Amino acid sequence: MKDKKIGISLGIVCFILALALTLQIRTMTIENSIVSQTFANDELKDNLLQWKEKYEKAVEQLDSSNKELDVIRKSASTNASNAEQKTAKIKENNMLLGLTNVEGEGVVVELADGKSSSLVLDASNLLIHDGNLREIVNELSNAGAEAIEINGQRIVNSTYITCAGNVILVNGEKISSPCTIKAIGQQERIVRSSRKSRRNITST
Amino acid sequence: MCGAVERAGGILHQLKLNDLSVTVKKESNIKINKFNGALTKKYMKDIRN
Amino acid sequence: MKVKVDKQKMQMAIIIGIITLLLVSSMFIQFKAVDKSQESNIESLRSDELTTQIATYKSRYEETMEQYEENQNTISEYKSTMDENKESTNLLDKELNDTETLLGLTDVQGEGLIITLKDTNEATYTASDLLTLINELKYAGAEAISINDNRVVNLTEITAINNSFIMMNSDSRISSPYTVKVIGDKSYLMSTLNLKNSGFVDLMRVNNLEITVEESKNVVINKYSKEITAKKMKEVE
Repeated sequence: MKDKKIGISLGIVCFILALALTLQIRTMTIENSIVSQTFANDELKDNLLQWKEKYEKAVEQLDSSNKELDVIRKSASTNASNAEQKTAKIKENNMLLGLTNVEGEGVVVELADGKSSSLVLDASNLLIHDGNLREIVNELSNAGAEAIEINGQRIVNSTYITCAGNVILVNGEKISSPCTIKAIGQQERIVRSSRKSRRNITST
Repeated sequence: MCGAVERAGGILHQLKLNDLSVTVKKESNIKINKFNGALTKKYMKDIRN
Repeated sequence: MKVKVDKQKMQMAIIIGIITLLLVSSMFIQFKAVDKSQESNIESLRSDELTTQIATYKSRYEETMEQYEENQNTISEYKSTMDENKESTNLLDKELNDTETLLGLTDVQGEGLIITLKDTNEATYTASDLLTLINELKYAGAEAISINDNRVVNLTEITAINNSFIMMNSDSRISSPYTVKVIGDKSYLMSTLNLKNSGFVDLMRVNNLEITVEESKNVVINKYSKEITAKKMKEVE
């Protein structure tokens, strides 16, 4: 009778042990796949860096060719009709397109993820979302902004603001909190409009 | 978590911004970067002429 | 006899003790591995992000190089007009035209989509819906967009005035039905809007809004009807 009891309890313990071991083996395979994944990721990262470098070099080339073009356009067009007007207009249009660095008066909006507190019901409220940035750009445009930039990314005609996984992409480049949104335009109009629609914004 | 279109619009959005930290500063001389890259017109053709 | 039973009990206690120890330690290892498998989720997400980033840099590299080559061509054309002492008026006009086309100051045509949005008894389109659509279209590489023949330019704003009217480009009132015309790669635009569940078409239909999307080989989009000017910004080197 006693031997039977011992046998049964040992059997149960062995069963549990075996179960644990199986699980263990299963997780081992997961770990193996992690290793191969980091491997693949390293390759992707290398690839990404290569393309980024190529792209940055191309941008440099484009910049210098733009400058060269400005110079030669001027010197080649001395005898063309309305040449001065036209060259000035081309330069202005390129500025309006967002293809040149610009400066002027305006406002700087600082936006950062909130700090968690017991009052916040939904943690998602604490994070900056792509939609927040789109609405801010729309609002600044509505207030007559002439140029807008988010963390160094200029808003141009082809700009999109989306998210992929947990990151926000502006012009396809990663943006993360804190976001600095710069806008050139009439300060009063911009500040007034931001007060009207967002009462909690602090203005200094 | 992101990408959802909020139909409730304004109010929800405002609540959201309530939880974010936002400041607006006036500045007299802001510098803004140019767009790094090119704007394309592969598909659209001018029909002015 | 009594002593023998105690010995047996002790033996069993030791065995059970060892087995329990093994069990506990294997469970610890298990916990560690669970932690790691969560990490692998993040890891795989990252590789997704990496792939999209690579695709972005690649296409922007190509666009930049194309523009660079176009610039080089224009430069050499200017040079040859100088060498041959010819007028450069045509070249200047072409350059000026190109910048105006990119700004949205000329009528344009090309392949693309015509999207029709209609309010229903249950739901109305909001300014935010239109903004979302425009963002999606730009993500899919749209080159020109108009809503009810109002051209969308770089800093076009879209805001609600009241329940039935939406304002864009500071003084154009628009209302349902909305006809959104877009020029770009029509199959890519189409597939972006038609993504299952997360695409714009499904998002609107879930909300009981009416939407139809039509491909066209020749969409005509009107120019922006006002001037684009800058009062506050100046170019810097």
